[in-house]
Amino acid sequence: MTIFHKHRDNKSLDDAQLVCRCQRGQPEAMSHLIVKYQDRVYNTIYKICQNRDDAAELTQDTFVKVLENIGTFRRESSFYTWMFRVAVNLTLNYCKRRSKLSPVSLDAENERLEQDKGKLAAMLADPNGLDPAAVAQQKELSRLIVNTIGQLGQDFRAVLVLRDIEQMSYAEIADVLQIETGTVKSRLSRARTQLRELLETVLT
Amino acid sequence: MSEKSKIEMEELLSALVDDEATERQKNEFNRLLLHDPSIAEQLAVMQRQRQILGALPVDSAPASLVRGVLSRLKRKPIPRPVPATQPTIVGAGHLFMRRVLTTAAMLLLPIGILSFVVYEIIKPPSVGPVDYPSVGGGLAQYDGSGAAGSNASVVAQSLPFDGILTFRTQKPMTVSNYAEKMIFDQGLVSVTLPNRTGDSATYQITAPPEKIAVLVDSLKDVWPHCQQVALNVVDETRDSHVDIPNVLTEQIKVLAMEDSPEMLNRLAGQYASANINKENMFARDDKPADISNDLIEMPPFTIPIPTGRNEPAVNAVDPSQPTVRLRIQVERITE
Repeated sequence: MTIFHKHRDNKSLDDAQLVCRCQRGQPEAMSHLIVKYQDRVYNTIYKICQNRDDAAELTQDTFVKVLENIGTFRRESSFYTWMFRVAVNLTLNYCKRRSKLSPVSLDAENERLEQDKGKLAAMLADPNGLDPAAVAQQKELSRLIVNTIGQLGQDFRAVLVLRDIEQMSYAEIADVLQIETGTVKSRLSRARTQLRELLETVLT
Repeated sequence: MSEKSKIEMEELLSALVDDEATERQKNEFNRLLLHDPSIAEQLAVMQRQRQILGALPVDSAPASLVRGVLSRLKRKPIPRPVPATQPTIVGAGHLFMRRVLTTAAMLLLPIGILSFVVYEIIKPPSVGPVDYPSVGGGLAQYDGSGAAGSNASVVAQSLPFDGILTFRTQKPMTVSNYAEKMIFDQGLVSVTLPNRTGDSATYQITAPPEKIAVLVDSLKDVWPHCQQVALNVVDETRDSHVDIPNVLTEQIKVLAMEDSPEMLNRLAGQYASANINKENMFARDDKPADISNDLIEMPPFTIPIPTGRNEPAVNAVDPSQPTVRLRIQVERITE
């Protein structure tokens, strides 16, 4: 089980109490809330925007906006999806504005990953190959995968990150992105197909 | 495989990977698997791809994040708790008030217009400062002692005549309707205070004696339908009254024109003495067969809406003229 699943198990533990205390302006509760979600928000933003500095800034913007507007949170959805809605919207708007959707040069990456050529494709194709978790932990390969995600279209990237990395359900993704569940399904399918094609292109 | 089929296949595999496939989709997958075993390989590739993405290393957020967020919040107002019922839409409260006010305006405007129209219809004509005495202090409470109407003073009543003309009939509604029609036709609506209750009706008219004379003339057709017609001449200054039974229209006209109180009392007394042994020449008992015919020949007793605008201007009462008061009372008499 990944660290994300552990986070998911704890995500709603004290959310209601934390939100109430934050609404009363308690700094300790705010700190607790930030610590609880900062890594997940940061990673989601980073996977979408593809830049660590931007991700750090956007994460900070997200928590500032969430805490500033927490008084208006009406509990119509879970705090978790509400917060991610803020994060994803900020990120997508930022990426669109700065045209930083594909900041990494894949040509340079290809040269460095020449020795790993075909390794990931073979791994994907071989059911008896290495453990996928072990593959993902290889630094160069993981960086390649993240960069390839950055080549996806903005809508596909967001839905893929929320589902396959953040492990959200279809309903939660629909709530975060404010789209229909059917749209989530179709976008996710196309995102996975495009990612596989991109990885094959890069690695073969 | 067509492009559409390819997309459908991808969506099917994606749903299976996420364990979100419906029963129908699972059956479809099994059916396709029988024809193309490579589909299973595609599914496996998609599953491993998902596992790899889910196992990507997690980067820690910058250590300064909490401090940075809190320092930025300190520079801004502390968020205030908002009741859960308060809408989050900006300006929602203002919008709600606007809707309420708009609705109220839409309701009140037609009501206001309608009220104005109704008021314009029913308001009395502005023919002068006529002060109506209250009916309760007039005929309705008259007890025959001559003290009636002590509180019902009449403005501009400079002539002494103050009479109560009483029609006792078996058809009070018909007589009342006819009397109202005549009052309207003579342009006396504005100076008439009507009061109809059940079978009885009273009309207190304060007008110049000439107008009263014309009105009484117009009412002469009422006499044949009445069993008793009497005039009670009231003298408030002396706290007395004279009852004139079987009174005639000409007698009323003479009395109304009289400007001397003494002469008025004297004439009233003479008429009373002269009429006391005289039967009503137009009483129903004398001409019972003609009653229905007479009624048919009468003008239609339609009661017009008493608006000042519709009232003939030529008949309007000049309030500067000396006036007298005639109270017409219609009562039902039983056989």
